[in-house]
Amino acid sequence: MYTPTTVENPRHRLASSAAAPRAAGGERLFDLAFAPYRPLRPTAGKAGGDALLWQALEVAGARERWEPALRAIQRGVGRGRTIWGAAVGAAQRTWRLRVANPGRGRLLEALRAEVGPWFSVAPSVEDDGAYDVLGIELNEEVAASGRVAAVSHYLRGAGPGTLEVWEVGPAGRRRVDEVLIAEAKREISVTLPRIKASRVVDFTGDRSLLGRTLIPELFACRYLHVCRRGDADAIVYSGINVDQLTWFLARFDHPAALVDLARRQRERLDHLLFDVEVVYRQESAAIVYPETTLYGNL
Amino acid sequence: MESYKGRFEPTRFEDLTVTVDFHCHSACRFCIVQEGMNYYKGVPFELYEAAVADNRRAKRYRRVTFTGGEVTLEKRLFDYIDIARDSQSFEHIRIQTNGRLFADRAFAQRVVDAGVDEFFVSLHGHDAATQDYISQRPGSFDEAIRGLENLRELGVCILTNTVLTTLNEPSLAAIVDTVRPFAPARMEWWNYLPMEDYADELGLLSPMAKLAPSLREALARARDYGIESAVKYVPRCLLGEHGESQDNTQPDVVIVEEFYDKYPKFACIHEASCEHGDTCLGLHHPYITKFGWEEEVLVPFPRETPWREPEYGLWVGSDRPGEGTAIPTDQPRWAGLVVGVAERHRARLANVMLQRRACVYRFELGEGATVDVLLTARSEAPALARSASFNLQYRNLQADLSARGLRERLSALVEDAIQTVIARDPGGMHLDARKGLVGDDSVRRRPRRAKALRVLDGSEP
Repeated sequence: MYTPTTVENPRHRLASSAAAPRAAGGERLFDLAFAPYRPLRPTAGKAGGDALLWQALEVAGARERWEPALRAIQRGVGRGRTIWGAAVGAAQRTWRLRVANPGRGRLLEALRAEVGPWFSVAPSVEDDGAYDVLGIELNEEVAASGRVAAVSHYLRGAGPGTLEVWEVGPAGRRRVDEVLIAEAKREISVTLPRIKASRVVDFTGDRSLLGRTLIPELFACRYLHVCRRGDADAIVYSGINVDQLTWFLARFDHPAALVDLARRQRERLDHLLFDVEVVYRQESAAIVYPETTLYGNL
Repeated sequence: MESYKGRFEPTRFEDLTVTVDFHCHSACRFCIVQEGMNYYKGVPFELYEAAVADNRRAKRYRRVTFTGGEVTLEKRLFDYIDIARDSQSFEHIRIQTNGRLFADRAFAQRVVDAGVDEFFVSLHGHDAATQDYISQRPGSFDEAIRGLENLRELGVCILTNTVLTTLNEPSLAAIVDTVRPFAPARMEWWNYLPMEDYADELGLLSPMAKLAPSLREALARARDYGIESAVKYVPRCLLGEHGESQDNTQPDVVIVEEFYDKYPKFACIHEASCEHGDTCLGLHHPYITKFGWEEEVLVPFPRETPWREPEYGLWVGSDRPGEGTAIPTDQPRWAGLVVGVAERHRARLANVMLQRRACVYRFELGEGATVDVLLTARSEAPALARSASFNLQYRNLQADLSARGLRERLSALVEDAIQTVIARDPGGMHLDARKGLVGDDSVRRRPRRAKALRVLDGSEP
């Protein structure tokens, strides 16, 4: 629960968006589906798309651990085509990366080379480049073992606006997510049936549950990604503004310092659109949210 | 992209509402400033005086409304009225009241004599049992009725206000019968906004399946009696043949900004497919969180024009009969800042949208290309440029920039507009007369251990 902060904490200032501070001007901005968008405001004096990542790492006490590898990706293979995610869940904090692979090159190998000094990436996986986006997750386990065991392959699905996500690791390859992407308001007739055809929420029993799965405060976004996973569903609200972001961070118990930062630095962030993901499932009569993630451009 | 549904901006620029104080001798169970009552203070008197003086010069507002709290308890009420009256800059002076003190005929006479000609009286129950239960003050219904009788005899304009909750939902039509003898000019029906109780722990939110039929019955009865109705915060498609009575506008309210931070926002799942998706607010977020989206109850009006996400709120005009498209009284002054710019670029100034926080100039260059130039209050915030009064930006660029020469034309137009505003801005221009009137000093210091005002964060109970 968010508690209003009245005393400014110097730690809540925006972290510099790169080792050498850069202007956000000229930065190519894109959403979680790698669709580019124009900044909502002139970018002079504004923060970069990665600013909140460094802040999230800092308030989690993880900046020192992960920043060098992330910077290496940012400078190298991931330049202009990487999305970061900061996930908050009951179990642990997770940092996600999705790197676009439009040419279907051997991105994994290139990534391994970039992050080799800090950790290995799915050493048992052969890189055939047959994926549109490559995903990895960084967490305490990776920190302890020095190894990312599995990667994610994002592939265009058979239908329009669909994606399949496959986890590829030592145990082989298994599908972990099916995603439908459509315009939030204009194409609600496409997404709504998919949301309601859930295997983890019984909407027929209680219609009000829809108000807690398709969250009204976030509905005014550009695209919805309706995700069907094993034991949970998720909705990505793609293209929310900084005010909605602030609400999201507070509502889903992201670190108070991050909430405070988004609120205080609103005018340095208001040119950006953000993507947020809410994972949910039903437990008895309630909707629970095991994990939520904030995404941005690296 | 957040539409104006999320921001709640519809404003009648001709009405100014001044919060005088936040004391009340009733304790309505749904009060939207119940906790605020402990902390909010009214507009400092000297600032109110300055606002009236400004209106005498600018003729911005036609009506001033005093509200609170219960303004009839305010010791300086007559000072407030006197200044408004003596300014001769308002056509109407209105009081928003629970009506109880007007049971005293002498007091009612004195207020009318002072110059108040409109009385917006709250009546939330059709009988004493209902009203007194809601107000938590035995006798309050009888006092309000006596007050209405006195006001009726004094020949002033009476309007009523009923907040729609589970407590009165079964008897809305009966309220029409109750107030009919007082010949109100209008009855307003405001759906309950749980500003301090997002999760509706008090159980006051009435589901639309119950509320809408009861409300339609009341609207039909009012129509039969020749009483105009205005409905706020109920989806238009649920009003049946009374859809025209939907009116979600609000005056400029001088109140602590914290109030608007907690003001509920709205959404409708059918927004993009409904002909009224640009003007109907739909359902507020606390309602959706509690009852769902009502996707099967709400029935969109078939849309005949392509939907486009509204970037800003629409100008919603006046509440005067037949003047729904009235423009803000000082609109020409704002348009004057950019007169001639469009013509120099073979473009058209399609619209000037004056809002609380921004003045938006929308230019059309043909072939679907549009760009907005925005003026916001001057500050140190990042901006493309600054004039004497404003930060200047462009936004909402809609164009195929691959079209030959279009990018250059757009750039030249924006540059010209900005330089023109800079050259013509005399300084001291204000977007919002409310700004600066109510600052932090208008919130009483909260005790350290007091429960903080609930932030509308959508959390589960």
